[in-house]
Amino acid sequence: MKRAALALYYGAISLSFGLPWLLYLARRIAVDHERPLDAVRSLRLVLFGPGENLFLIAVLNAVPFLTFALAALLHLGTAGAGVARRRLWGLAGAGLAILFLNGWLLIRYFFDPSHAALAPLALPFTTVALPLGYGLGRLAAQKVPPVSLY
Amino acid sequence: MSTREILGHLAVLPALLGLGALFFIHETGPAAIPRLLATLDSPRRAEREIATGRLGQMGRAAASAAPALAAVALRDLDSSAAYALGEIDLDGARDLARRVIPLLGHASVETRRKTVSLLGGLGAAAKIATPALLRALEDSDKLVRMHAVSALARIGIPRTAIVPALIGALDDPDSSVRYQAGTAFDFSMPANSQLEAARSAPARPRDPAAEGRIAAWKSRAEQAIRDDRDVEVHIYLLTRSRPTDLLLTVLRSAGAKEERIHPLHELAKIGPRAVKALPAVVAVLGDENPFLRYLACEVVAAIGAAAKEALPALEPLSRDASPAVRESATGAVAAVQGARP
Repeated sequence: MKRAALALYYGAISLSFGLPWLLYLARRIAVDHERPLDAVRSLRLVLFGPGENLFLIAVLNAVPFLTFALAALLHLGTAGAGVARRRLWGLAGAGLAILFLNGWLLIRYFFDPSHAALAPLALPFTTVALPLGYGLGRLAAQKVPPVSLY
Repeated sequence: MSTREILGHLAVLPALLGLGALFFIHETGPAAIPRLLATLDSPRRAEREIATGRLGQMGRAAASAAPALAAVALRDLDSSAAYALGEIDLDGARDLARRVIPLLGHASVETRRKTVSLLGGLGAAAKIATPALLRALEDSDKLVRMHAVSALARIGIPRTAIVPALIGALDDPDSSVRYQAGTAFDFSMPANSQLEAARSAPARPRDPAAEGRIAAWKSRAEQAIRDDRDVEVHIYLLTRSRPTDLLLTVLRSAGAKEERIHPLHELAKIGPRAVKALPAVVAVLGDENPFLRYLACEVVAAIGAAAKEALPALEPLSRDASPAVRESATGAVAAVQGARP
């Protein structure tokens, strides 16, 4: 479980800032047909650019992801063998919930900004989905029989 | 995992956040200026505009970028560079305006269009270009006239020359110019359904329905200007307090001086009724920011004879280090004493 806890912890930290920037790069390359190097260069410019400010968007996005990262490390990292599986399922549910919600908000913002200009403001509030996703994950853990990986 | 292991991994988080904070400071402070200046030569227009926008956001902290911005603005007649310069360097912006004014008589329509846009980008600092822009309202090219309307609305001073010209532009033969003139009054008119209908109406020449809406709009604009109904709002913005505590608060207010640029500019557009804000404006006359001193002088000039209590504070500004402030102070003294500047 140590590996899983660390993977969730560092994965969430990476996605906290990385998710909006990756989606921005995807838009520049797929929609604006920019070369990857040009897209990366423009990313650095718009991090604090008027109207874009991707740094602020990343900070807003980081709220649920960093909360999740701390939960993963403290909740799963300290779990004994008896409860680790259920906790892992719970955290997987919570992680999927914020990944889905924030990913959806960011895709709406980057790929259809005319209709979703305010979407980034909702990013930190998806934190409330963490306990819900956790509960659903724990519920799923009860329904799915344990599978030995050995 | 042991407690020691968990604490070790937890320590990574504040370390990363600290790095993020350092990156933020590096990218938004003066250290970013050389890289932004290098971007001004990018072949990509979007990148140039972001770089100029960010320099403009830095305001006077980006003073070292002013000569390069002026050079780019002059070389390419780039209005975004002019906009940034107008935010950074009052005298540099004024000097640029003086240098491009002759281009309003250029044979190339494209040059004239770019020049009026550039002058509008400079904002209040380009007051010196107002007479030339008023003449540009007679240009044969409708886009030059349209951009001139927009530029005059953005410069906004002297109000006595610009407001009649904008009202006159509501009768321009071209519907797009009339439309632009209508939007110019947004700064002093509350939005309502009729204005919104006029704004969203397709600007078709000689469309009877559109003409009717534009006529109604014009009538409302004239009434709003007669009423000067937004004066309280502008004073509120200047003092950033409740209207009842206006003057006392402004005397105590010390921070966020740049936030006063916009309300001062708006007060200068209001005219004599801005006299309610005079004590607050007089306090700004001694500010260390030349843009604030300049705009405060413009407000006093717009108030005119009723601003006699500003004369002692104006007197030292006739020897101000900034040529723009000196000229504006001289004009303000003349306006208060009854002689038109």
